[in-house]
This record gives sequence, C-alpha cells and structure tokens, in this order.
Amino acid sequence: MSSVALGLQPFVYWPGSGGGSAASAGEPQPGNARCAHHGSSGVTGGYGLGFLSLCSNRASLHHIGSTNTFMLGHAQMLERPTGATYPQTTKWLSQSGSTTTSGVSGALSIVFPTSYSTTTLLTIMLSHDGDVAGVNATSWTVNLQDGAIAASGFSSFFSKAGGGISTLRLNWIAEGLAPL
Amino acid sequence: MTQILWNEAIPSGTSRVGDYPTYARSVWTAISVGLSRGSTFFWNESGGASDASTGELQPGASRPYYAAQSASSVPSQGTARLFFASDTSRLFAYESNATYMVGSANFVEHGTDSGAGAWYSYSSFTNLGSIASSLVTFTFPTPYGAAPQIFLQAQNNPHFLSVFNSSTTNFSSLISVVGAASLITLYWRSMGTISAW
Repeated sequence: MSSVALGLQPFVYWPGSGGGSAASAGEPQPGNARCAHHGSSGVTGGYGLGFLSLCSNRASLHHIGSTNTFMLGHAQMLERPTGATYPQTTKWLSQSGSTTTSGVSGALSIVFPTSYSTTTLLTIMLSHDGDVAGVNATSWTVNLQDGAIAASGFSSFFSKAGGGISTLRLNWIAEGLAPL
Repeated sequence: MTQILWNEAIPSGTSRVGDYPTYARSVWTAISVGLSRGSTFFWNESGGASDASTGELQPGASRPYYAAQSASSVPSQGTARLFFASDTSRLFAYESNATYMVGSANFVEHGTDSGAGAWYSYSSFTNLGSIASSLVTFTFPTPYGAAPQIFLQAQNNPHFLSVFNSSTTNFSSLISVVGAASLITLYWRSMGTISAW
C-alpha cells in the first residue's frame, strides 16, 4: 500500500498526516498539469474536451476539443501593463475597421462593434488611402472630432485638398477595456 | 477531508489466509473512492469506483504550479508543464528550450475571430533621410493572409501621407512634402490576419 501511495505522489498530494502510507484524500499536486506537446502539424484535435496542448513551434497553448481547436495564448501576444481588476470583469479589446467616402469634407461617425466599458480609450489611430501625387493628387486631412469619442464609437473630421478623384478610405483601430 | 483508510497491520504475519481476500478488496475500494473524491480521477467504466477501470483525470484536476512569478523555475521533467504566477496573473509554459508566457489577464484580444489563423501586427520605422515627394514601399516580415490595415505617422517636418497600395506582402506609401525636400522618419503599423498558424 505504501508503494501505491508513494508511486502516485508526484501526481497526487496527500494532505493527511503520515505521508504516503497513511494516505488521506489524493488531491492534484500543484504542477501536475502537463499539456500534450507537438509541432504545428499536430494542432488537429483528437483529444477530449478540456484538454490542453502546447505547440512547440511558437510556444502556443491550445485547447484541443473534440470538434474544434482554439489557440488560447502564445508568447508573442500583446500584454498591457495594467487594466485588469479582480475578480476580472473586463478585458483589453482591440477593434479595427475602415470606411470610405467620396465627399469633400465632413464628419464620419464610427460605431464600435462592441462597446467599451469606459470612454477612456487608450488608442484610436487613423490612416487613409488616396493619391497625394500625380494626376489624381488629392491630399486628405483626417483628425478625431474633439469631444466625440465615446465608449460606443467616435467621429472623425475629414477634409480634401486638391482636385483629384480619390476616394477617402479611413482606417481606424481602437483599444480599450471592454466587458469580459 | 475524505481519507483513504486502510490498516497496514492487517493482515498480520499470523492472520489466516482466508481473511485476506475481503481485506484486499476493501483496500482497492478505499483507494479508488478516495482518489475520485479528491477531485483527481474519475473511473470511466461501469461499477463506479470499486470496479476501477482506467483512471481518467477529473475535469479541473490539472493543476499548474502556483506561486509568485519570481519562484518560476523549470522542474525536472518540465516540458509542457504550466506555471501560474499568483502576483502577476500570468500563465507560463515550460518548453524544452525555454520558458514562455502563454496567458495573462492583460492580454489584448481582437474583436473579430481570426478563424484558423491569428491576428498579426507589425510595427517599425524607417529613416528615409531628406526626400522630395515620393512613393516608398515597405515589406512585411511575414506575409498576411489578406491585405492588412496600415497606419502611418511621420516624424520631423510636415508631410502628407497616404497608403497608396497594400498587399499581403508589402504596402506603398505616398509621401507629399510640404515645401522643399526635408527629413522624414516614417513610423508604421500593420494589422491583419495570417491564414494559418
């Protein structure tokens, strides 16, 4: 009996007195979690629900389900220094999109697919397409509309200079805390 | 706490042989019941804990190491084991060649599912020197699955910038200088999906 308990001890923790021989309930030993381990070609499922697998190519952690495989995390993910509170009810969420207009000037209103928890968005970046040289030379000026940044979206002013025929395509990316 | 109990003094050296079968069965039952109540194993065959089949892990029985991040060190037989840092809420994986962070409460998640691939973002900057209005092409380190979004920012003197063309492998930016040729450093960021991980 002692051999049984001692043999299981690397995996099972015996919290009762007496160590392995006077065994109490065998609780999982901290550190016993061990993922399946494979290269990229092995991320194909085939395990039961709830199993974890570690891909050695990028050190990425996957959930290997019976019907789907999901990547849960990897070493090159972006991490914010702060933000999460406990118990955790929010997450850092990045959203991006683009919209086009052929107008000369005006305002574009963007509604985020998912609203953020607060109006304090960390990042809104804008960029645009369009010729700024040559026969279709058109310069665009885009900027965020003051006071029009909300948890649910934002507005941007745009203005065209030059006689070209370019269509403005406004690219945006927002990042902030959203409900978990 | 449920305990797995057996009396190691039984059978004694003078016990009758006939006493052993009953006692042996009680020990096996005690072991299997105790291990299942400890949230470690479940017995997947009929007969419950007493007729033990292969002991599969209970959902939730996998337990990473748990301590402050400074205590993280690769254990023997460490490959593919996990460590959860109690002070930084980060999950680490021990690979055969290094330790990697594979989870964090402060990770940034994109709002759109990337499917079988993943969201990729590159950022870089290039000092273009003193140039007049130009078309400049930048190549991504790894091709995207579809043309990504591009964000540009100029440093130094006033310039008009736009994304002239973008593909899975590179993008071109038209740079229009205000006035005479002037120094420019172009900062850029691309964000899109790769088709396969």
